[in-house]
Amino acid sequence: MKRTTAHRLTSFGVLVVLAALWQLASILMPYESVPGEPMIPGWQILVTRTFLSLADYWQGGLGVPSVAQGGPRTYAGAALAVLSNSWDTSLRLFTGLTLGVAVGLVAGLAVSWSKWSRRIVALPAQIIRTFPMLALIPMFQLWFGATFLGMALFVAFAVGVIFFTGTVNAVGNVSDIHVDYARTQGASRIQIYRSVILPAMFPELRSSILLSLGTAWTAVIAAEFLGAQTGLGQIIVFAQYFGYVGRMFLVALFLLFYAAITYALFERASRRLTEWMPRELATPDRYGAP
Amino acid sequence: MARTSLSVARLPVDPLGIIGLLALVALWWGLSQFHFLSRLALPPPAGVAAAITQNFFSSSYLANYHLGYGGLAGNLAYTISNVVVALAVSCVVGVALGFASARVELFRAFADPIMLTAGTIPILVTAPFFLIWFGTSRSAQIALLILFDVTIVYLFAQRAAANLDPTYVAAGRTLGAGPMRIVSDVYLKGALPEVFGGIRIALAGAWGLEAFSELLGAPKGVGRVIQAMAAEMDSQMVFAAIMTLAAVAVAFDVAIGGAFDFITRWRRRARL
Amino acid sequence: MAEVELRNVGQFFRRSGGALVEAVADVSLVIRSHEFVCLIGPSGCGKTTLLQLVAGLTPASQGQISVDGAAIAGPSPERGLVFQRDSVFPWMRTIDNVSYGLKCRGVEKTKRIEIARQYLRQVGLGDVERSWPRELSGGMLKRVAVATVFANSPRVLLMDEPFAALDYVTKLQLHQLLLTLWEQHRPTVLFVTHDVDEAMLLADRIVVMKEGRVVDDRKITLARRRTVESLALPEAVAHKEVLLRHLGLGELVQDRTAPL
Ligand SMILES: Nc1ncnc2c1ncn2[C@@H]1O[C@H](COP(=O)(O)OP(=O)(O)O)[C@@H](O)[C@H]1O
Ligand SMILES: [Mg+2]
Repeated sequence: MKRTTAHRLTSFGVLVVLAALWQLASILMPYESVPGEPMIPGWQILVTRTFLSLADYWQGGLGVPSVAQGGPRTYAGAALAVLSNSWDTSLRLFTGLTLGVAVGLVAGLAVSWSKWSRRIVALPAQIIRTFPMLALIPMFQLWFGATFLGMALFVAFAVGVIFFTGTVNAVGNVSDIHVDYARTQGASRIQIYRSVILPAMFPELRSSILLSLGTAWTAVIAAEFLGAQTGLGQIIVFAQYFGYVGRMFLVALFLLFYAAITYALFERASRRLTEWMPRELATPDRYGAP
Repeated sequence: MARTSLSVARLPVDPLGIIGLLALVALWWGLSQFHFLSRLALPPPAGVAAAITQNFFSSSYLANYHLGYGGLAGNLAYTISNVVVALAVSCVVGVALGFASARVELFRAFADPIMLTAGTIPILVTAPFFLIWFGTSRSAQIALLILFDVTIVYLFAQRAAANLDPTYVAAGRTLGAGPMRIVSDVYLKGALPEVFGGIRIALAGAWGLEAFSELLGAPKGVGRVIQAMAAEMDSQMVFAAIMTLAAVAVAFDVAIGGAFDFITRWRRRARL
Repeated sequence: MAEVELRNVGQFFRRSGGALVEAVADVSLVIRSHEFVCLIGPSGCGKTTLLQLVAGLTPASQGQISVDGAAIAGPSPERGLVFQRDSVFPWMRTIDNVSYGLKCRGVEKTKRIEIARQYLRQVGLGDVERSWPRELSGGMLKRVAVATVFANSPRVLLMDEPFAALDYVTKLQLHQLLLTLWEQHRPTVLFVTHDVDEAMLLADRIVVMKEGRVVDDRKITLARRRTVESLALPEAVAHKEVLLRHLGLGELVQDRTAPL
């Protein structure tokens, strides 16, 4: 326990150091990307002028007029812009994630029911794992346009493929001895699924869940980079187009913060489910999501 | 009885898996025949195959879109070279930093938070920054990939070195191995299986990432082909580009897997 | 009542290289009700395979296996199996592990907890019923496995080198525990081991396997709850000498002329 506190402290310290380095860089390299827009904006600019400029992305309403309609840039407008765009992004993310996880898990379990179907999908599943999923976005836009449905479906597709292959793999890796042990005690097929396969595959599935989470974030950002009308990813590419590094940086920080929160929430939720595990199994890695 | 296992030819893949693969292509063909996904939007496999063969080594069609005269292959070469260069750099840097962090507690205290943060964030958000800093050049894509690859290789190398049984290091020492030999013969060899696992994961993610960052802006590459063809609504060529990239990704994965099995052939395999 | 009969049982495996292995070859054996039979033989001779056939986990390639005249069809809690490796479910607490078979048969919760608790107490684990398996030692895990099979009140008990991985003292303690439970419930036991001393301590009868076949079958009539002294009697020593020679350890035996 002491070790984790120390770890948190160093992590925090390193983040502070990084923030300070950014500030130092902003002083040492006072270049501008476009006139009036520093290439590396210091924190004093980020939290004031840059944040205020996010008000441009507020569509108006709730008594705060939009900048496009001639309203002034206000902190309230900026906050509303961040909130509404965050909401749009998260809705796409969670709709896609939920759909993808549900379909991937059910399909994976169904395929694993028989040894034959498991062997049939093993090779395609292995190949699909390396499929450059992000390259498919333009197709999704051809099919569905840059709509909520298109983006959510893209997230669902990317997550579903990962979850499906992860589930098939995890079921295949459940140790035979536990299945046999349940069988000698008279467990039925369904009982084996419920009380042996599902819990035993969870450690492996956990990395699939984390990978899905990362993939979902990447997929939603990628979808928003290409032609969305709202959302945090859309703000970033729009700002990049005009060379507004400060806005990009600030919005990227919001995205990172949200992603970190989803990871933390998942970790919390899964801790109870993994109480039985030996320690080294209980901390999977979440790496691999681009 | 048991010694005959090598002499009998063994199929490298499960024939049922081939059936599964064929079923997948059949499913694709079947979907492409539906009207609500018109021919334009989901091209049939045969059309995609034809598009690939016609435009593979040279293509005046692609040249019209400033994608060079080298056809798909020319753009593929650009994409592959970026992925390989980034991976090579990341292996050297990632393994060196990973090993160092496993040995030096102070270094780890500093490197871990950075690497772990970088490893968990959706790396893609950094792509627009590289576009601003490097323009639409090769460097923008390579920088993004290095950022992605290095964090993965770092983590796997670190874990491998940390998990390595200290008995091996002690044994090497008693046999007279110096520090360099310990690193090269014990750490490097012992950590290889896990580092390879990391490389494989990094590579699997890198193809899509590279293609997407090319979509955002690059002189050429498969991602640029996809972007240009999608703008023309030529879904057949979009698929042709995606499928060739996917084939390359699979080929690399198989090659890496084979190399991995060969280099780590001393490992005990699970007998199931 | 549970008489196990094996008639001309055989089992083939295809190795990954393609070679065919005959792991069990033409085994015929009758194990009488309440009998405690030990099956010994060198590693790889087919003991585990034979036990899995009797458990019904794999259907035999050849021959019939029946219990009280009825051919077996698949695994059943009436033929409990204790595995060689640890099979206790790591994701269930001790008490849930022990009551799992009862749960599968639809025994009501308070009832099955009560039964499981009773067996846990009997194997000396009354105080760890809420523990996770990872918190238990190897010997404790074996006790859990033993409690689990007995909670299912099996008529046939199959054990596959259950105590092989344990330390000497723990192993001897578990022998006594097993004998106590066996005397109380009297299941028919088929106990696989490659430990001659273990077999001499436990068995009514010792069956020796070699390369898939039964090569010897001898009754041990020593009085029960054997002791260090009774195992040193000439009769016991004679059995032990033959068994050691079966295992290829003839150089440990002084009298090399006695017939096998
Ligand atoms: N599933 C299997 N596939 C192929 N060969 C097997 C399988 N199970 C056992 N065998 C072979 O059958 C023989 C007997 O094995 P086993 O019954 O485990 O021996 P024991 O338990 O006596 O040590 C061995 O040669 C082993 O390699
Ligand atoms: Mg065995």
